[in-house]
Amino acid sequence: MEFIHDIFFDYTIRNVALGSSILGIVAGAFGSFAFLRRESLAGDVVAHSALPGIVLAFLLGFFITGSSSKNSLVLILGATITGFLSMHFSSRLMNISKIKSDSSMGIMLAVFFGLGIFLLSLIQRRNIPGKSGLQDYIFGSASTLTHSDVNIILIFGALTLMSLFIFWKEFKLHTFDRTYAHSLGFNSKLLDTMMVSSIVIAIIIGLQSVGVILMVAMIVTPAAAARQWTNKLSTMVIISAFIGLVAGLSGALISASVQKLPTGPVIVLLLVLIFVISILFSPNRGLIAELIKNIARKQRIRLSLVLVDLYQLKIHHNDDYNVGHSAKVLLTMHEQKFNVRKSLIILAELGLVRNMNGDVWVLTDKGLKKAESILLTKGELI
Amino acid sequence: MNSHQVTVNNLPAVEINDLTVAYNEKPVLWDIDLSIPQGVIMGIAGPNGAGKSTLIKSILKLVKPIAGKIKILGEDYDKVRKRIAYVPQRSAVDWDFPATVFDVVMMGTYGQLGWFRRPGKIQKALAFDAIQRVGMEEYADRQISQLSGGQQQRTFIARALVQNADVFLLDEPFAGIDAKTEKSIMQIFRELKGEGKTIIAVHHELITLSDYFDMITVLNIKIYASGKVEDVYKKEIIYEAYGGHFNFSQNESILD
Ligand SMILES: Nc1ncnc2c1ncn2[C@@H]1O[C@H](COP(=O)(O)OP(=O)(O)O)[C@@H](O)[C@H]1O
Ligand SMILES: [Mg+2]
Repeated sequence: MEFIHDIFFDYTIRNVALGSSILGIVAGAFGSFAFLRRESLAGDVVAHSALPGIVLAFLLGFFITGSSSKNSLVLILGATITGFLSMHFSSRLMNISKIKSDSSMGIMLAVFFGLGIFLLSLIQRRNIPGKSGLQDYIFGSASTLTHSDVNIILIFGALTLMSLFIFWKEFKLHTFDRTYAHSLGFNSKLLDTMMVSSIVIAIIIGLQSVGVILMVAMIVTPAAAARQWTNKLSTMVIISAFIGLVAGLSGALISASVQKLPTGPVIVLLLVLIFVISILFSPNRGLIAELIKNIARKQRIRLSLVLVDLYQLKIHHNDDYNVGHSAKVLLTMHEQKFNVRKSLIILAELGLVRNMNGDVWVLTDKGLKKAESILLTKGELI
Repeated sequence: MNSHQVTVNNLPAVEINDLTVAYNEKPVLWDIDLSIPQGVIMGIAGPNGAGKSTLIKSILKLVKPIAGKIKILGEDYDKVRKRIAYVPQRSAVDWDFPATVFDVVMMGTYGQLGWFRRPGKIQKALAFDAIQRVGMEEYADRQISQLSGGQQQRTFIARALVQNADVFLLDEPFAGIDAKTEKSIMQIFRELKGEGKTIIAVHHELITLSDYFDMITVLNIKIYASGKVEDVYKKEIIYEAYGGHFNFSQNESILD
């Protein structure tokens, strides 16, 4: 009860809850598009490369004003600039050299993140007030969210979600088939810019609470999990946003209520848990469903094989009187790697064969028809 | 706009002059001149990497040429965009995208709708008609990842039919599909031709080339020949264009 009371009235907890909820929704929704566009790596580059931008913006603010107000709008601007710069440099690097896109992105990620860490360590040795907060951008700290931080998240989050709503049809078309979209008159450069900017905003507004290292998980993991549960884009975006909301909110609340627990890792662990559950248990694409399907398919192949063998024996021996054949004979027909007798028992349960006596089996009328149709169509199974 | 006018006026469907395209330093299309009349089924043939897809994309302004002029139905592409339908290569998209056949065919209505406007009842009816026309009504609600190659292609063609265009540009519509689908797609092409529409399709299967098309353009960076099947479908021309990549002993008989 006290906890619920705190969510509404405790300053810190209310900020944490509100900020990370919106962040989860926005990251989840746009993460679906990043995931379908196969741009997860680009998201990681943007997040890591934001670090030097944040530190530089902080330093610039300090030297210009002489005081260190951690104005998050300024920090966000710095993060956005270096995030975009590193993406730009990596595509330039790809064009002027023969380096592939994943490698050039990896290089830029390392360069920019390295620069960020370097700048942070320089600041550590100087006496600049407020410097300690910058460390929080590495793993994230939801409890440092101020009221104005939350307002910024709210405004940018609402703007991007609104654009998603307004341009839903265009985003969907462009993500599925960009050249076709362009041929219909939807400028693909413009749509690319709109979508990439939205994804970048979703990343940047999460940096303070989740941190630059793990932010990409906030984008990719909910989408990957959501994809398991649906075959419809709108449903996928909603599920993904919901997963982001649940993980973001609970992760941030947990870390805010436990001392010295960084938010990023907590949220990511929750997300991974949801992801693993989705990969394993989702009804159509899940691993377990797949496994069951495979077992059933193999079973049907075995049963069909035995049924057809029995049919061949019958034809071969002109067995018009249906005296049947023994499982022993069936066993010599192929080097079956499975239990033929067990298959016969299952076939009998299906009413396709009948056990005469002991080891002797005979096709029923139904079994005869089935065997003929299997042989006729080749692909068909029991 | 007179998009319902099916009478064939004298303007060519596509008129290309001095077109040169290069992605890097090496030209992919070199000084192309090509005129395709309205109301024909034109096949664009050539070996892999000949620039066939690039030619189609240039007509659609999807790639920027270094030089040259392209007119469609006598106009600039932007003016007649709504009278042109494009069917990209099937392999160009991710078929595991979360969408059904109906969702994909609906996309064909987006061009007429333009930005912001959302599809409604009319668009849904149009999409369903197109799905029926390609014989996919049973599969309308099926997830696209569960389609065969031929069904994927028919979905793409339905999406283009929705556009109610006058000129259809198709990139390898017969690649990797079964013979039955191939025939049914050809049937649709002939119906469209009967309505006065123009079909331009990239095709690199030499065996069926002469059966399917009224006209053929043989392309390999430059144009080797373009015209009526009986004038173009000749051993010397094909051999020259396909060069060493063309295995003559296997295909010789079909060219006599
Ligand atoms: N986007 C691109 N960037 C660079 N080179 C390309 C691009 N698209 C095609 N090419 C090259 O242009 C040539 C022609 O390609 P394409 O038009 O796809 O040929 P086709 O469709 O006849 O097989 C090929 O050598 C191909 O590698
Ligand atoms: Mg091609």
